[in-house]
Amino acid sequence: MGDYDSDDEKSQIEKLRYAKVPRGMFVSGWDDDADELIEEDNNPQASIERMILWAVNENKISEVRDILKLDAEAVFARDDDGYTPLHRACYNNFVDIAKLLLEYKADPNARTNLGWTPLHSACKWSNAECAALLLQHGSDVNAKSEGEQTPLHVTATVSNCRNTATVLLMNEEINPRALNNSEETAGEIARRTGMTFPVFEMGHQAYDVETGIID
Amino acid sequence: MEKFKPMSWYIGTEWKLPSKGLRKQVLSLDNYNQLVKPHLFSKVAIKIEDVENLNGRESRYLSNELLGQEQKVEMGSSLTPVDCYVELLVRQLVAGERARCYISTKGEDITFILTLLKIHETKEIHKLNAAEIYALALRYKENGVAMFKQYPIFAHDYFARAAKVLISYKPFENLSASSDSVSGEAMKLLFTQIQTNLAACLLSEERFEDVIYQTKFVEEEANSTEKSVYRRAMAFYQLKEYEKAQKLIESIPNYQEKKEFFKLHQRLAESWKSSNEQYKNLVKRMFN
Repeated sequence: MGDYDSDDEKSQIEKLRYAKVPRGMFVSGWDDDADELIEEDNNPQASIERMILWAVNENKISEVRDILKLDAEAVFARDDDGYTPLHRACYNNFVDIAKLLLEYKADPNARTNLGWTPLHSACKWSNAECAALLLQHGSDVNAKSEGEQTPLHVTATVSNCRNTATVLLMNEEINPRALNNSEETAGEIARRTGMTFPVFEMGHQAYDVETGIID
Repeated sequence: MEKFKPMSWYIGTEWKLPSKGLRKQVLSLDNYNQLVKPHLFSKVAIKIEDVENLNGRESRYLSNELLGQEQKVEMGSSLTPVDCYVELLVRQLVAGERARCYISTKGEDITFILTLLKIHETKEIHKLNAAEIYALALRYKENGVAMFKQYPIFAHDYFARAAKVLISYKPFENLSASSDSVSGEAMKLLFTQIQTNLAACLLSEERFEDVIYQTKFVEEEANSTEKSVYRRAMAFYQLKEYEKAQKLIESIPNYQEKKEFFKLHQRLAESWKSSNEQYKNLVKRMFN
């Protein structure tokens, strides 16, 4: 993907600005609530922020790296729904891009307009590798979006969520019995949603232990 | 020309886990190569320096002989509280990171400088196969057994982790020794052994409802161990569910000849009698 070998900033920004961006690449096949709101950008070259959001969605790591080298602040770009490049990397499970963004100080707890963190996005799309990466780098495992949904609630809505549920439920800081605004735990959602319900047993209080401060 | 060096912002940042009194501050990040931290299943090389306030607490990693030298650490192998927390801190470091670490105690904080020299092997928990999951759960269980007498809460933590690791592979019925290197029966057997150990920890913490939960399998399986039956019966006794406790005790062949069961049966009979008398008195008071 190394299209841009020159170190010259001007030439790089020009190349990025006029990079061929096929139309229609942002049409969403998703059929779900929060992430459904991500819309096509017909003119990603219009700004460096739009460019990085586009490049992440297209899994163009070289371009993302080039953009960040030119302007590290681009890591904080947001689309109209509040999604950052890290959100986009995480819902696509582009782990290497997510790592690159974190190296440039992407906020692992950035919020969309609906209060979703990148961890919510990773969980919604069953991207366990990204979820594990985010938890290692400061994501709040108990973050609540609008509707008081934690990443575990979001995970539980997916029928086969074994991997993401395991990653979350093995985390030392998780509150597995948090309630959403319908007064439901993630385990209750999992019971009616799908085949991964047995894994949610990990969240039963009989497995709670706190080793606390040592003597 | 690069305006911003990746990870330069990282130096000086802090990480905290207040519930366990853990904290680290990044001092440096040499030979940074890639953004990788050790997972629960990892083998790494570390170096420890400048230990203060260990004050005689047991620790393999912070002991004098090994200070300043490269030490190999396999995650999930620690057998003292200090070392368990050192492992947790190691998992917060990026390869190449040097950090000042703090472990709060009821006295002075233990402090030391920790360097994560190398990650030899690391694998996310969801990528472990059935045989690796079984081996990890077994190791956690054995560590818990080793720590139980001296450090019961840390033993409890190991047992809970072991159980959770196995649960991530539930339902076990689909596993077979030929295709998964471990059979569903073996997984189930290990799971019930761990639950029996959890029940011991929960009993001593007086979490009787949770003991009942962890020993449910006693009602479902014909070959439950006497230990698990005893712990369930004890929990029922403590919850004043005398009939259930009695039924369980009497399900053990020749229970009268088994000291623990016999004693519990006697205590049960006495408590039941006294509870019946209390009930009779209550009824009397109500109708007189």
